[in-house]
Amino acid sequence: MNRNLIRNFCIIAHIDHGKSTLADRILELTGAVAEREMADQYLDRMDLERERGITIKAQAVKLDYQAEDGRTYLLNLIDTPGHVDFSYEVSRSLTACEGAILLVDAAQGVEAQTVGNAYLAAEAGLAIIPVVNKVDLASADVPAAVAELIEVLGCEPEEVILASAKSGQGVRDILEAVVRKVPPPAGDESAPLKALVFDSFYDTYRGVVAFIRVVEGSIRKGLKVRFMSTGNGADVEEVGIFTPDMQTSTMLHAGQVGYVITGIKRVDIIKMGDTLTDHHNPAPEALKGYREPKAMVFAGLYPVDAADYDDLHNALEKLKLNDASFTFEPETSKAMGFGFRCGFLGLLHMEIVRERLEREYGLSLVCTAPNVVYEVVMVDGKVQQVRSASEMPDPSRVREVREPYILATILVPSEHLGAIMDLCNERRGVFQDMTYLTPSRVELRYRLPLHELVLDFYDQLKSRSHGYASLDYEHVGFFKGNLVKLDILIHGDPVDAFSTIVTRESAYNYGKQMVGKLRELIPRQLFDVPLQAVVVGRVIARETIKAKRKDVLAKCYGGDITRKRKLLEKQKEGKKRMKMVGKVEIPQEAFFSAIKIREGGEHK
Amino acid sequence: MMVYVHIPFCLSKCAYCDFNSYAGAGALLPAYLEALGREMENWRRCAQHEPVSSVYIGGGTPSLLTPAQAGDILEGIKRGFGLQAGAEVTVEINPATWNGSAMREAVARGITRLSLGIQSLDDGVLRVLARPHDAGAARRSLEEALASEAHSVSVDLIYGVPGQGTAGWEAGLGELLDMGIPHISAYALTVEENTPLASRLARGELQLPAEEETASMYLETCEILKARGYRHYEISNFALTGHTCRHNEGYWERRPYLGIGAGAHSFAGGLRWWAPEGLKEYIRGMREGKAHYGVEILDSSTAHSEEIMLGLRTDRGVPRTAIAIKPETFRTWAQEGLLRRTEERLALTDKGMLLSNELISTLMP
Repeated sequence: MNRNLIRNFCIIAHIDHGKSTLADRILELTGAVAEREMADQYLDRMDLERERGITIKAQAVKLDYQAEDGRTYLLNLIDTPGHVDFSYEVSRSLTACEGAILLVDAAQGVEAQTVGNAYLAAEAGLAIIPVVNKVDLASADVPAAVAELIEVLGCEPEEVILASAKSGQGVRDILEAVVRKVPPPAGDESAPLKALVFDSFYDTYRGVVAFIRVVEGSIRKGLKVRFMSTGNGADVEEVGIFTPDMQTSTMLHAGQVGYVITGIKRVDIIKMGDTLTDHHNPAPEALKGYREPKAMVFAGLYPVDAADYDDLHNALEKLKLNDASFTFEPETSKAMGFGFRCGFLGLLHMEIVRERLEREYGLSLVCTAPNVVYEVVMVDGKVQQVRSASEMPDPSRVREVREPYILATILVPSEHLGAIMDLCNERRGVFQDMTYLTPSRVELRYRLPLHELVLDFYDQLKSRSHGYASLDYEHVGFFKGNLVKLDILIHGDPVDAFSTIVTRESAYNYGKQMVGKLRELIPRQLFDVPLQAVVVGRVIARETIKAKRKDVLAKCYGGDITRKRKLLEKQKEGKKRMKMVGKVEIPQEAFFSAIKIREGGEHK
Repeated sequence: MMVYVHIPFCLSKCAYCDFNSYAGAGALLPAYLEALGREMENWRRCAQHEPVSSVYIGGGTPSLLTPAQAGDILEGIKRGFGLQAGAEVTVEINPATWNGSAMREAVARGITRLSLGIQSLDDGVLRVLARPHDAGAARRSLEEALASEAHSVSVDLIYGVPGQGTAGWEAGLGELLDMGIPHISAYALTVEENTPLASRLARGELQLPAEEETASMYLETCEILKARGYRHYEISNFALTGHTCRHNEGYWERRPYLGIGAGAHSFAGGLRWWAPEGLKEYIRGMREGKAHYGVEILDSSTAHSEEIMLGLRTDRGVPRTAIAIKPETFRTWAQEGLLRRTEERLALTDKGMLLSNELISTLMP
């Protein structure tokens, strides 16, 4: 294959801006997938992804494109995840490319994450092709979207392609731009092998299938290879390309994108961003930018039925096979028995994992309120990681508690600027800077505790900007905070699952709202249930759930029995979604919904 | 075996009613009675039956039949299946229908038990319920029933009605006790979907009493009736000695029964089945000999659920061996005074009955 005819590119877009639809059109146009085989959005393979309209795991596909210059090009389309939790994954996918299509919805305009990813792409030296999508929508404001792209990218107006992925308008122009503007891959084919692992998935029969971009040298079946971050060695069992189905090939050369199978069974050995090299002729140094995936948000996952513990364990093991960024270890809760403390990249990542466990493994789970990871400096100077409120040491032994901060980039229409700045200030945000992208759109940067994001910052951002603000973030490290542990007592017993770490100033309001919310969420029981919020041994708020008094079917005679039994069966079914905590039945939703509270916050 | 006969005709639809009954369909009555006869004949031919221990003619409003028509139905059952000596034969009576002489005639034709749907002795309450009679008619009807020489007389009452009030309820109850009615069914008002009552409540024209008030009305009722010698033998049923409704006890003990009539349910041999609900569909089905019955096959776990659900409605409860209960749950319930336990059986207290859905659904397998 003539390397000059290869183009490696990806599509950067915000959720719902039409990335998957554009990918589908490209697949159709290049004949990679026959129209009749197209389930909509072919690249999003998991049901869950398709349902949420987002892409979680990157995918890659090889396309043959007959360009207007008469030559046939080999295009590698690398799909990237579309959510802020997965920015590291995005950056790895970008490194596998020489070019990126920056896709913006004509009605929505540029979103924070798109800007963030566009900057990442620019930093990685990618050629960027700006595209305004959905230009045929009635609500489209094409000139505004074009103006924003020009401001963000510093490009020329004529460079912006107007398209409608839905109708196919402009798709050929996009592919021509890919051929014209994206440089062919460079890289010395005779140098020692350097291949970037930009994704992987687990196949029950073959083990881990790693997606790679060969940067230098070449890779073939039988080669003994090594993963440079871990030093793990392996033999190449198979290499190939995605068409989009896997197709074996004899060798992958510098510039090519494909897959490699080594027989390794654990996805955490083959890490995203790692460099694969020749064991006998290794590259002197690995590719830049590798990072250990680090879970920043933690929550407890417990089976509703204690008997499901082993099933949950197995399911977590299996999920972990496909997702190295997710962590888990056994945890015991007084309230909920045996479960696991799980670490996630962010909230969406957490929800996805939970939904997959329930849906794909048929488990009924209780998920505790998520919290961030804290660094606790002890009196003796030792630093301890705290991943749940129950791990928080006694205050007398603690010198200081540090919490993780993020740098948030927020894009907001100027009419909502005040509301969003108020929100950031309420959430302990520290203003960094502000740029007008256009007269009507502002880029705002704040430093914020990650804890605030885990609470309901994102919901609030959306609600206070009527859905128009968008957010991107990066982690900036741990900083000291004035933090205390808040306990919730239900029927006199502390329920560790509801314990949380809050700022001292917010403890009273938080506790008050927490017990207020729990009073609504916990159904009435057969007895009165007092609820108390406690900080350092002092009750700061209380509520009582009055006992249920009457729940009875007045009549039940010969003709009623089937119907009345079904009513009671339904009631019993409802109980399965409840967790017994002491004597009190608590619905699972309570464990999650209880955290969505905040002073003055509107709830969805 | 027990036999239930359904008479789905009414003078008018009451505001709370979602039963299978029709107002203004009187023209279909003769054809319906004929269909009842055909259905009985079908069942007579298809199996051997033990003689009938109880008959219950319910509705709807069975007292829209003449006493002679009711008597004919009973005769049909006797001829078809045989009637045990001393069998209980109940007819439900609306006070707007049969007078004293009609009741006496019915008794003469073999009816042993008159169940009067008076619901209340308060005209305001009767108007809210849209009953076709007033309190005066109800009182008259009761006196005539007591004078009819029926073996037993029962009344149906409803409490927890908008605007009723605890004092009004207790006054009505006292009046009935003074009359010496030997059997009382007291039902908490249930608001069923798609009834005029549900719409009026939804529009805010009426307001249900607080749950707390209805709950204490129930507990008061239990106290008052027990003090007067009534046995609280099922959630909503109270009787003086010798006056429990054996037919209904049969339902709660899961004895076999044959239902005759539109939508009437039958139960035997682990099966439950029911005829079409619509009047015309039922009549046509019986005439043409191809009615479509609904059938439910009860597996052992479902049967077990029903045993618990029905048994715990009664003061006899269920055998302790029939239920699995966690010790901590048992302790909590016992502490809250919801359970009664004998050596071999477990039953609910009055307070427990008031929360029976919660308890039963927890205990169902």
